[in-house]
Amino acid sequence: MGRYLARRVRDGLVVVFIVTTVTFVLIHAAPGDPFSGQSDSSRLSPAVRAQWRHEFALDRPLPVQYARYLWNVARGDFGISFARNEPVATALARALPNTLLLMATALTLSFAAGMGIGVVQAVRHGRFTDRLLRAGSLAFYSMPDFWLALMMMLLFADRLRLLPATGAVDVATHALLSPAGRLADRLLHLVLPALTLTLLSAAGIARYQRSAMLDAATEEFVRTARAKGLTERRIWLRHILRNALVPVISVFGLAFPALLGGTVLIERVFAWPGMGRLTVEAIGARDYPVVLASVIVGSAMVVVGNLLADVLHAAADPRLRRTA
Amino acid sequence: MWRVTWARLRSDRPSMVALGVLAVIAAAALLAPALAAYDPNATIDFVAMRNQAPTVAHPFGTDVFSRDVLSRVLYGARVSLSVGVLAMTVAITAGTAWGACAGFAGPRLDNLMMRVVDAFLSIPRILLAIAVLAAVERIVPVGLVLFIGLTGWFGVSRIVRAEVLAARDKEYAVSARALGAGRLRLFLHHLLPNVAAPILVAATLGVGNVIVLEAGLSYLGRGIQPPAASWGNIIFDGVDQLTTAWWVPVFPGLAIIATVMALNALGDGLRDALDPRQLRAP
Repeated sequence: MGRYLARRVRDGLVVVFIVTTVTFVLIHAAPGDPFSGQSDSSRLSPAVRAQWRHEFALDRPLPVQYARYLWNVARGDFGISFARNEPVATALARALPNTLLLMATALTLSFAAGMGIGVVQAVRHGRFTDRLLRAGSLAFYSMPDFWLALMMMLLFADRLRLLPATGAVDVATHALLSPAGRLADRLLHLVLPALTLTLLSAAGIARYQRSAMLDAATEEFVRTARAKGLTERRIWLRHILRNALVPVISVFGLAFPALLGGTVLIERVFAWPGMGRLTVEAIGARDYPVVLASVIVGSAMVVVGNLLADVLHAAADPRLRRTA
Repeated sequence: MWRVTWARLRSDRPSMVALGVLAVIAAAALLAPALAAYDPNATIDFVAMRNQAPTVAHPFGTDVFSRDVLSRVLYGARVSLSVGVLAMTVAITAGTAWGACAGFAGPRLDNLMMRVVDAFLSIPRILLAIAVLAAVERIVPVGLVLFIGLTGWFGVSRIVRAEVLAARDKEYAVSARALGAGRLRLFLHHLLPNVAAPILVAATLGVGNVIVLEAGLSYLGRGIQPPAASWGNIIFDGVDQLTTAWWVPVFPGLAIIATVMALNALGDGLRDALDPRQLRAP
């Protein structure tokens, strides 16, 4: 297990390295840099621009810049944001907890809901309930994520006025609220983005859970259980569900990147102050250090998610432990 | 094999409904000039006809530039569907070539090639998109198709490689070689027909993914560029007036859902129809 983990961590680092390199090369291969082309900076004299470029080492050859960048990142220094005038690490430290909160909430809710729906579907497979839930999950599975976010916002924030539309807290009143009021304020703001993400990823998990259950249902031990005279309820919940859990754990590894991708657009819709919004804003401002850092953090999160899925997998399935 | 598949597919109701829906949408896209009552880019009356709610004359309403949303959705279908199909074609070509090369290559090169695929498969596509988007300010349609296609072939290459590895030492492959067939001929004439089925399934599901991805990129302002309409950028045009003119983003969104749902249902149906172990729970 130890050697296996070490190999997986090494493979993960390789992935992060490849992503970093590709991003770095792409960004720097494009014409222009943050100090060219900004319409409001036409008053700047070329000398000042040259000075800035020199300060950010943008006048050095690309391989030199890359080596410098890697060396800095390895020491935990992501550079200075061009647009925000603060260390990138500071901006990341502010945004990352918000994204993790959003993702953790959505991940928990979507596995609970998705697995529950999948089990119900499998037990009632072929019946009306199954067909209805199947069509419903297919619809959510086929939806552009930001579109669902817009619709949720339109319905719950604008028409029904039940929930706040944007932000992580109420900017005007948050500081004046009691501690309990602040918590409630945070939770209220979390509902819409978390619910949107949950609906989207629960749909995929339900599809997977259903087919994993139906696959397990064809196995021999189910016939044995029926022959023993166990109730259908016990067969489905104790015997089939347990065996269907193993394949579903591997969905965790797949759901994680999808969820991360979803947060990028959904954070933008709900103005949620997380990594996704930070990245999108950085793209607009051609703020390379922030873009690079978010891509690195994002790919590291995916690698960790995959690793977690594999470890859970091995923990749940004794057969895998021996071969690994 | 295709006759059996078709017979199985015909007996699957969701797949048939999906085929019907897709036929209607494809027809609407092809006949857009005849069906659309207005020029999709014409501003009808900038003052009086801005953000008009749906009426008989404008069933999907008008947008902030007083353009007819139904006409834009019809023309947008052409763009969104073409982007989907073309990008998927790029992806399948690239994936098949890469997978076939890896399958025929020696174990070391094969291993290296597949590690690259693994690395890219584990990155969310949107992160790749962000890397590229940060670099370009406006993207031309060809660039968009290439970009989406070239970031979408990794899964296909895995399927093709597995199939080549499994088939290249089978008797029919060995005898074809003995008769003097080169690797290319062996692949094109003998192995490709075997991989066609799983590729078809992957492609059906993939076109849907591309349509959704294009919409997401439009939302970041990096999809098909206005004034040309794509389903994604019609939604994007409506974002700022979401609360006053809900019809602008709602209808193209529904068009995307209908198309992608149909593609997903058809892909599922195809997979079941092509699966020889079609044993399901009693």
